[in-house]
Amino acid sequence: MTGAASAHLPLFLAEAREHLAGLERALLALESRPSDPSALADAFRHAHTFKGMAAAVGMRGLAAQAHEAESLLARARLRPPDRDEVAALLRQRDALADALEQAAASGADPARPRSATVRIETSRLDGLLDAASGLVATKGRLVEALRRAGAGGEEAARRFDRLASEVYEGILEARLLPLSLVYDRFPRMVRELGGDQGKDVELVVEGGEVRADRRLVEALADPLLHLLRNALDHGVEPPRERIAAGKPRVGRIRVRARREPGRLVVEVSDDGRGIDAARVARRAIEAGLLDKARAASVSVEEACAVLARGGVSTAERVTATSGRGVGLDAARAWVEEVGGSLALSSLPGAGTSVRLFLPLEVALLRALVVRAGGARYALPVAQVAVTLDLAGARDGAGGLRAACEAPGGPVPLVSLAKHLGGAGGDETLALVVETPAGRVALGVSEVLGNEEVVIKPLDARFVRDPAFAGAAFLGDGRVALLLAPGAWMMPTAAQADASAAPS
Amino acid sequence: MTAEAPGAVVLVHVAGRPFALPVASVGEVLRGEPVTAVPRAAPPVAGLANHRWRIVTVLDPRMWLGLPQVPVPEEACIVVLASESPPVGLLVDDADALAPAVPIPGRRDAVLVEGTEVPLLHVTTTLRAGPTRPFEAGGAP
Repeated sequence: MTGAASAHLPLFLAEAREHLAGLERALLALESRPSDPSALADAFRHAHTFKGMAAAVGMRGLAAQAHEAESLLARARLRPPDRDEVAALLRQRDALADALEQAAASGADPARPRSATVRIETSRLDGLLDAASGLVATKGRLVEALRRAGAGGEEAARRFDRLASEVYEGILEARLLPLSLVYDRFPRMVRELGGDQGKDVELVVEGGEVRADRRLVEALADPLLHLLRNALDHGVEPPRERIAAGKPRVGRIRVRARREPGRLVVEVSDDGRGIDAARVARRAIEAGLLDKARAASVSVEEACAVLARGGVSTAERVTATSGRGVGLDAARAWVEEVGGSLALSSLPGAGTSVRLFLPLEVALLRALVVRAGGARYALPVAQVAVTLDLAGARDGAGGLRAACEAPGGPVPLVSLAKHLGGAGGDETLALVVETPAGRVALGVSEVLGNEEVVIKPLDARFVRDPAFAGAAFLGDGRVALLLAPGAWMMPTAAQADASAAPS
Repeated sequence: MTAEAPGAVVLVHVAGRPFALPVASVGEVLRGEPVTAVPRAAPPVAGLANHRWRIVTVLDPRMWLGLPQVPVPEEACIVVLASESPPVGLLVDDADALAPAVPIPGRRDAVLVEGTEVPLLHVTTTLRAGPTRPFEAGGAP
């Protein structure tokens, strides 16, 4: 290669890789729709462009290889290719990819960015994000001081407030990557694994445009591969079985992603045979996870819950046919590490779906900061319906009554400090919180303020408590736990008994 | 530097007793950083602190070291470990500046600091909650 050409190498490599990825997509499309002219045209375009680019940078060997691929494709123009012919084309593509990477390894830096983008080390971006979290946490106090200072301070305060949020959100935004980066590997894998097992599977991916923090996206590939493999191995039936069951011959696996407030939901579903509740029950009994007496009466929902909790695979590994449990356990371990959760649902004969709920770097959250039992906690403002004065909610002995009047009817009343294992007793206010288990009034000592906070995940190795959704930095730089509205807030059985007993 | 012969150590005290941490395992020492307790958390979790606007989980190593639960002094320090992500800190009574350490032939569990034998703490297993001691050496001296 000449010196002038090698200067263009990084750009060439980046574009060449894109064309090879495009060629792969087009070939897979061609396989499922052999007479689709647009798939063939796409394949041609990518192969042809690749050839031209390789020639332009003086890589004659690569260009010649690409030319062969083009010739093979030309035959497909005459008649639709069969599976073997597409497989041959895919092998050609792989050979091109290998040759390209070899050229990259022997040539200049292959990772040079394309024009108009700057590559930033992830660790730097991490550091910027942390610093911006501090900016957001500190701004509340600063803005308050500026407002009080008067003399134009108010205008400056407003501007600073907005700027701090913009800086934080801008950095978050810069860290986002599309899920399509992960999805790109799937079609090929599903095709190959399906082929090995004599299963025909169509993969449908949705939500490739959904973006999430790079840390999450980069780590998502492995757990999704486990779930895809599960769907292929244990979900989708062999063609004969499908036809006998009156289903389409070709199975369908769907990967779907969507953003919900504060979380990313990724779902892997198949239209296969579904979960066999009796089989799961047997294994769960073997693994000591389920009482023997329950074996006959386990519903599909219960079986799914057992699988989602994990540990069922242990009994099965002995037989060497790895069960659904192994892949699920691997996926769950990862999900829990990032602070998320996993749910399973199934319809016998119709399919199985596994949903991953993954926490997102939440942009910014309005939180009420309260004091209870001497500690401060944050609670999302959106989940607090109303704040009540507890002056009239004490019983004769000075303790809190079991319920208090709130707009919309009486609500069970609990002491937040006591619920968290502390002393309590100095509650003056109650926050009526909407939880999935119903409304509850949380007694607290004081409401300290309403702050915009950055939520940080807790280290799941050490803190796993459904009471806490994360931690936040408050204006003074200290850490406060963020309360997660949930069933844990409801009165315990003992409290309910005590309130039922005559005093 | 090998684990057997750390050239320098950070000398810390836990429940009044000295321990040496290889300098390579120490990221930073935080002084005067308030620790927010986590209700209902299992030992060894002492709480959460702010480390450059990252949450550092602060662990109390006394359970692991078999030391009594005497009160932690007001001016306690947090030794942020170099290798853990998300960050983890050890709650210690105090932490000195770097001290030169002299290896003791045939011993991995202690070094000589200014002529005195001090147990050496190597973080060897992945940190997690529970009684599993993550240190290779360093029982109560």
